[in-house]
Amino acid sequence: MIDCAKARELSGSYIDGELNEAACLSYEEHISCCESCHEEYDMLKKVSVDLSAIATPLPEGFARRMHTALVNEQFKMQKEKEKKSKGFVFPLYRVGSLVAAALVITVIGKYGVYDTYKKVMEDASHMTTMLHEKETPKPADTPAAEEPAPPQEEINYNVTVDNSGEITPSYENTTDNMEEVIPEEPIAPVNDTVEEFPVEATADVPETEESAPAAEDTAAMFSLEKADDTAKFDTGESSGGDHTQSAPSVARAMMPDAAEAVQEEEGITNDTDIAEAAGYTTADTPAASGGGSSSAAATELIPAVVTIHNSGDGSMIMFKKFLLTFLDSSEISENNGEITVTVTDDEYDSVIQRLRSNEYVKSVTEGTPSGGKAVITIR
Amino acid sequence: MTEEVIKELVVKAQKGDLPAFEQLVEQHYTKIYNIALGIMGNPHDAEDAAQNVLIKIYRAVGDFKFQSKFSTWIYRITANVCTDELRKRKRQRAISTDELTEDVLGADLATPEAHALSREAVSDLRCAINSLKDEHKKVIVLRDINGFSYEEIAGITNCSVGTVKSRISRARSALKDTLTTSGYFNR
Repeated sequence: MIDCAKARELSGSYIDGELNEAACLSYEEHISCCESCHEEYDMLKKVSVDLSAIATPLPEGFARRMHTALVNEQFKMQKEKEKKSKGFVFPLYRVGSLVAAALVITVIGKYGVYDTYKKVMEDASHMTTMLHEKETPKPADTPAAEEPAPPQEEINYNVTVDNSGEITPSYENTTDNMEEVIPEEPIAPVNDTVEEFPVEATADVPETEESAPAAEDTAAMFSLEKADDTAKFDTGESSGGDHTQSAPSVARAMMPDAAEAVQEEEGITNDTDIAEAAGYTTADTPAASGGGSSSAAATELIPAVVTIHNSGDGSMIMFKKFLLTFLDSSEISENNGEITVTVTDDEYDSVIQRLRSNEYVKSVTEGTPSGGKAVITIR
Repeated sequence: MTEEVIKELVVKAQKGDLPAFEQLVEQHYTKIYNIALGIMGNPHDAEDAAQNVLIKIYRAVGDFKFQSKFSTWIYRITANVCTDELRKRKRQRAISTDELTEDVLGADLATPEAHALSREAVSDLRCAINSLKDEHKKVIVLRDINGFSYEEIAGITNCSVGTVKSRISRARSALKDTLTTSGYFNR
């Protein structure tokens, strides 16, 4: 017969049914004779059984909260991936430290390394020159005016800008490289809401001409007017073709200084050509057009407010992404978990229709277009 | 869910398919939460820990090489993340009954089996678990609260079945001593 020490060793496995037949018999034989081991077995068994009873069901809303956390994590990972995919760009300010390092090396090993130092300085100077050239688009490098304008439906109205505020030369888009470009700094008139839409509004600007902005299907774009004006965008399909407004005007609305650069670089001065190239009209009539019969002077626009709130299970983050596919970030604001979209009276109907057809939208309660409110509930 | 289906979903999840990932892990939410609750000791920390677990699993799913069962892998991450979280929060002390909130006891008493236990009994059990060493706590939470087999526990804790057996025995013995002191067996 086994002793008490051995019995204590086997007690756990016996309770869990993990002992073979022989060991079971030995253990049972011992506890039938040993009162203290039998008492210990009873207590251990009770603990094990009682512990199995305190397994807890999931708290209410647990799955939904985990889903939200995972969606947020997915966005974070996407942003990290986008940053990594840009690759390493040697920043200009590093040239200084490179030069300093070269100087130190030269001082320490001055004899016999003069040539090395000289080479490093030349290289640093060359690199500085290269970086300056890269950041400052030269008119000579831009496509000539006679180059064919890109097809209307290929242009993204989010014109790419670099950090200096000038538009990169590749206004001409190709279909070969349609990687979506999202400017790091908001190119529309800035408001705080831009920060709330990190996926769309804060990705980095492309460094090279090759990473042209992705084409947006202009048929899918809404005509919008900003309540605080500056520009009105209209797809070719929605007007009779009286395109008198310019891509530069569009760019001007988004980034005034860049607009002139675009006009210069592209060599496009004729408004019709510009509009055709850009695929939209704007409310501003450029001085060059001289004929702005199409668009009246900008009048005071009455905003129609559309409020979007979450019925509890929906993802506001996903819905914001959807909104940014056809609205400017300056037209979207968020407060206390509700999204507010501000559009003009003219565009109210098309925006509502767009929202109705979206799978996220659970219900639409319309207000009056003129300054009224519609309430959208998302799933 | 068959192993084939799991494998397909894992491959999709590794490519960033979030719905596929959620389909994989949703069936394990209850166990993940209960492991977290057993180790962390209260529902608030348990949910935080569970969220961290899921995020960690989501980020690491690309590294899963099908060398073990997917469930074993995620429970291993669960146990490790929760243990690390607990250490960070420095809750290596016994929690008195007064500190257990209504939420903890309410949640514990939610199951029909738990209704047979008194409030005091449940709080004694939670306190006793919290007083265990990390390794003992882990095996007791996996075995007695979540019902994993010895082999599964060995896979999750990355040790042998023999080690699991001896840890469980020692853990139960330690629990028994703590509960004896609290008068648990006299109720």
